[in-house]
Amino acid sequence: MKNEPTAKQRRGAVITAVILGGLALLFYVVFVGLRW
Amino acid sequence: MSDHHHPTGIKRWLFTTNHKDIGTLYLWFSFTMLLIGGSMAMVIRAELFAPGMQVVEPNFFNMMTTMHGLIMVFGAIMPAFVGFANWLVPMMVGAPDMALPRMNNWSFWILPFAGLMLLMPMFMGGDFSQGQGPAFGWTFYQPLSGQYNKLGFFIFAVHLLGFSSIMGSINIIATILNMRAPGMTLMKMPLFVWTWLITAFLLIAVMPVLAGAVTMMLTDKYFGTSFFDAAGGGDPVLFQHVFWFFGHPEVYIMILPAFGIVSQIIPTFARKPLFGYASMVYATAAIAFLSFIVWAHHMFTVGMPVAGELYFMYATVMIAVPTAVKVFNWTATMWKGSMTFETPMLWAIAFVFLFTIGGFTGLMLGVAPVDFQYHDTYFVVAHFHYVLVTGALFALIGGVYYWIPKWTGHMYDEKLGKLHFWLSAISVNVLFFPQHFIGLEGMPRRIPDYNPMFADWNMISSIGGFVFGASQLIFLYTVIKCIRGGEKATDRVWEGAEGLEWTIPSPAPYHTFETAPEVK
Repeated sequence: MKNEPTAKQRRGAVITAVILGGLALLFYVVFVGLRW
Repeated sequence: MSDHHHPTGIKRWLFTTNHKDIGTLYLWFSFTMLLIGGSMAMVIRAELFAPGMQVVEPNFFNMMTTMHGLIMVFGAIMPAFVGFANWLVPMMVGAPDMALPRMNNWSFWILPFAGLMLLMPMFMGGDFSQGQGPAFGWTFYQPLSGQYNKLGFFIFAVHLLGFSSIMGSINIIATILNMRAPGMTLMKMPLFVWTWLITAFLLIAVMPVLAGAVTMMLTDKYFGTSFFDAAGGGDPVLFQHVFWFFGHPEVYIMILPAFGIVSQIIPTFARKPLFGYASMVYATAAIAFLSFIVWAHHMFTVGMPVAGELYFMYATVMIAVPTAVKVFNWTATMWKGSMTFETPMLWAIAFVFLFTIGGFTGLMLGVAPVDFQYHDTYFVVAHFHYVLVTGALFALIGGVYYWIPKWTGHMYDEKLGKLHFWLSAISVNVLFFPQHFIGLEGMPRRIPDYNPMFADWNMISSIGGFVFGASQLIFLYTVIKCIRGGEKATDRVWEGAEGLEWTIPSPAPYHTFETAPEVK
């Protein structure tokens, strides 16, 4: 099982994903809210 | 490799979390969509072969132009680049796989359903020729698109496509930022990885804007709001602003990874390192930044204050600076190189020439007073097809020839590859170059019939189109032949190739980098 990401890499990937997903959601809300 | 068991048959593809499998799925999906969208282009060129209506009904023609655009942008070009990213980014940065493999599977498997949702209304309404697919242009301007009675299908499809793109981008960024092998610093990454990192940020910034636009369309249509409806106090021009705030960066989403592919191919066959690596990275970032502040050059004729027109004009022509840096660097890489002209290099050189033509006509269109003349003519059609066909598509095809020995373990048939190249390169110019002339003469785009004064060039353009379309069948045949067998590829494949992907066996093992490689 050497072909596995390290725990640090996994944690980093999840944190990156959450931040970017949050940003995407924020942009969506801002653009719909632009004219609401 | 024997200890890496994976399900076989359909289960392998449905449940796969392997970046190479998912890359392959993306590439075949996009090629299928290329053929579907291409067939629609053939219908368009058949109708435009001569003035008058001969082949299809006007509404069907509008449906073809609309679906051709949507399928090529969202179904062919974008997923093809995601396929390349899946296959190559982990191998290039020395990672065992993408950072979020299960989400990777989901990103892909949303796509076929979104594609189906987009295509389905074409077959509704009994008679195919009376199909009810979208027929309002790929830009779906309001209020026209608001009158479409199957709008829900379209909106749901766009939402799904956006969702898939955002998840794919998150995965690519998470992989590049977290999974690089020891020693692989950001400024040592291959340029293809850099261009995709920047592209992924663009996608995350603008796909939600597109989602916002279609959500507002949805509530306007079905829930009584008036975002874009002037009768209720809304503004149809707002739609154009929101759409192009997404749409202009979208153009760069489709071309930046192409820059990345060409920046890998040219140094290999010039047998020299890429000239000006750092300036290439900064130029890519500069283009990405500028892409956010130029959107209204798509709508000069809508009626803007002169100050607005001037601002968007100057901001637009500024993009020529970082783009010229790139073209200069590619040329300087070839300068005094020991060049050979294998098939991938031919596509890359054609890219540099022909994409630059598309870039120059883009400059012409970016000049506001001149754009009043060119707007909505065939000149625009010629411009963006030079960018997207001889630009994005040529880079993709060149990339397939470049990496397919690594993917399949076999060399492709060089004679067939060259035949494919020369037929495509000649016919694509016969197809699109005359469209500059008929555009300048005043032929509007998106029309099934036209003034007989445009007849000659249209006929020539159609002939070029049929040959270009048929040439792509050679590509299909060459790829299948390469998958089924052929001369065994070496690990490095190309004498001048540099990078981690060339250090592993060909075909690339199912799991790469059992132990992380050290990058010096």
